[in-house]
Amino acid sequence: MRGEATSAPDVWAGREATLPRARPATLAPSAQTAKLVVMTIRIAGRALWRNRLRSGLTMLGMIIGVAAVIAMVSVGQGADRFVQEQMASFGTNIVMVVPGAVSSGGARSGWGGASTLTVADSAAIRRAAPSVAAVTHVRRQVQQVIHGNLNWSSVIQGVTPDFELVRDWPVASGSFFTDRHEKSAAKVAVLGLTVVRNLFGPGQDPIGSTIRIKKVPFRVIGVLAAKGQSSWGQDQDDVVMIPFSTAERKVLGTQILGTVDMIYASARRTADLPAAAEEITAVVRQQHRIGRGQDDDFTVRTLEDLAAASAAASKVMGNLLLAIATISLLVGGIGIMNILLVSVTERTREIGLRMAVGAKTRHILLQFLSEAIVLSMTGGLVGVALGLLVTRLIASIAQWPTVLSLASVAAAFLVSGSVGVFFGYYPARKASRLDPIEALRWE
Amino acid sequence: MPAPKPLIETVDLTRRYALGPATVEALRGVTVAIAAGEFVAVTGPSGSGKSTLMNILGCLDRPTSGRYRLGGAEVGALDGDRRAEIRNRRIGFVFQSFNLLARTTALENVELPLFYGPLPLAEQRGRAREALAHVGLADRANHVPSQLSGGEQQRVAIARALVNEPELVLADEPTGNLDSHTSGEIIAMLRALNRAQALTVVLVTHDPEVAAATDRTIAFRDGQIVSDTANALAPRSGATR
Repeated sequence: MRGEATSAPDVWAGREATLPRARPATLAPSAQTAKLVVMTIRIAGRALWRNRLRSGLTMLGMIIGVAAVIAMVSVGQGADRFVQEQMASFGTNIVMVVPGAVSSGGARSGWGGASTLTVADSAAIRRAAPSVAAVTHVRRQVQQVIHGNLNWSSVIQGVTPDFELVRDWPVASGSFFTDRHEKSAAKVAVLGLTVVRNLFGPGQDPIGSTIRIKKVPFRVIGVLAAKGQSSWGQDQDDVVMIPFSTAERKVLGTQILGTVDMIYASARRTADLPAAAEEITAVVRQQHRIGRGQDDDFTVRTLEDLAAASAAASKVMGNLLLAIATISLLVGGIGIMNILLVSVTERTREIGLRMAVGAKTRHILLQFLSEAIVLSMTGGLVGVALGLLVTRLIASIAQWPTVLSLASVAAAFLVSGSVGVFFGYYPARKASRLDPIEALRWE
Repeated sequence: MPAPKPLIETVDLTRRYALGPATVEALRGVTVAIAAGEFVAVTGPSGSGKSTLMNILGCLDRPTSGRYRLGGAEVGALDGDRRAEIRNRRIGFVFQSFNLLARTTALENVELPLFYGPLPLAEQRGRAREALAHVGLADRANHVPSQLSGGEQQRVAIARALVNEPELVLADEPTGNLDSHTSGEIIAMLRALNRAQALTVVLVTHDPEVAAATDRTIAFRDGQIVSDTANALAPRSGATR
């Protein structure tokens, strides 16, 4: 034994001069903190990389959860915006009056169940409702429209010239009909774009040509600007506008003269909308001689009602998303906690060793906490990327409108970080409280 | 030769564990002084309290009663973080089972204590490399433990113990897992360190040959020191009694 000591390996020859005993000056606190942060993240990264497959699978929960939320938020917000745009296209300051939800004697029927609205009501509104800027009334019917050898079934709307004003719906070419046309019951028509597409060949200018509705010839004097789908999915461009008087007398009218299917009124400003609705209700009630306490025989609607309904729907959708997000992040977080607990057990000896060579409680705590955070944040990041990809796929394949929300991306990222802290804390604390002696003895 | 100041000084150390309803008295009043630069073997049957003493000397454990001074300062009652600091700066550990991190290179294993010390990050690698060269394994820096022999692994562990330039190295059965030839090499290495740098080394061993290679043997039985003898045959380095 001692003989061996003298014949120690060559590396021991002249060892005296090595390892300078100069102790490093203590680092400044800020430098110490910086070192701690770098070391902690480096150790965490290494530990996770060493178990790549496991880390990846652990992150999967977060990835799927975050991706699902991002994609759903994008689709939900896309749908929301779509509805809002549609409403804006209809005109946001419009009040609709439709005939009776109720007929006399308390027997109820649905929307438009009775034809109680008249041209006189429309005139009364124009006269007596100060918040109303313009009024028009409508009779409509689906009829076949013929041009040359082409035919198309469309909605024929008899409206007054003010329609253009009320609906804020200008013509794209030609002109809308005027009071003169209305008074003389002129056989002129303004076509929606869908009708033009179906009755005229490409490059063919419809203006000046003649179409037939119920065998009555009409001269086309204008084409309406494109309006698109309404919020309830109707193609608003599939329409033929003719003067109300013409419709009543020459095309649609077999019923009593003077009845209308609907009255549109526009408020002076969007803010006047509730006042306009109230005034109209009062005027029409007076017109119909409805006594106090009796039900209206008509219904007044504003798009605000629809907007409110849509807002309520998107609120439900939002809550649903929140629930799904919470559940998936919870599941992802529990997955992370589970794996970290396994990891703490597996690495008990390592923890003991680190403690023996000088790791303090907070070093161990931070190490495992940062592993949790790296796991969850990486999961969040990949989830965001996947979510954006899915959103793009939905937008391009399903042709759904989507809106990428930066806020939701940031929130997903932030929340995934918090999930890491929340679910990492327990395993990290468990690790940091190990007794180094016990931990070193762990088999 | 003037008596050097003791590096380790314990007075009437006791350590009791609660083991279920029973209480185990692992140490029953241990008073010992070890001078700086001594090379000491602690022997005794298992359960005699030598490992408990090593844990207390290594600031891994605290005594139930009694005092422990390291370099003149009372450390027996310090809190966990203060003891961690002492372990990091002043004590190096060598274990029977090496305790190297698997799938981690020799260099990174040696670097480990530096993470928790004050050495700037940029200097860590260099220092670890130096320590590894010091145990003759510079060419094995990028090998992982499974690619190293038992003796090489223990040398990596010694480099790790030395990397923070401690005053005291505590070795718990450092040759317990090694064959006699390799074990001779390891003891020679510890002895050389002890000589060259006046490093105080305390090792626990069952092997009388290993014990005989040290300056002084402290024998334990039932939590007490039963004998404390200078090894006349051993080449002296520090003071012995």
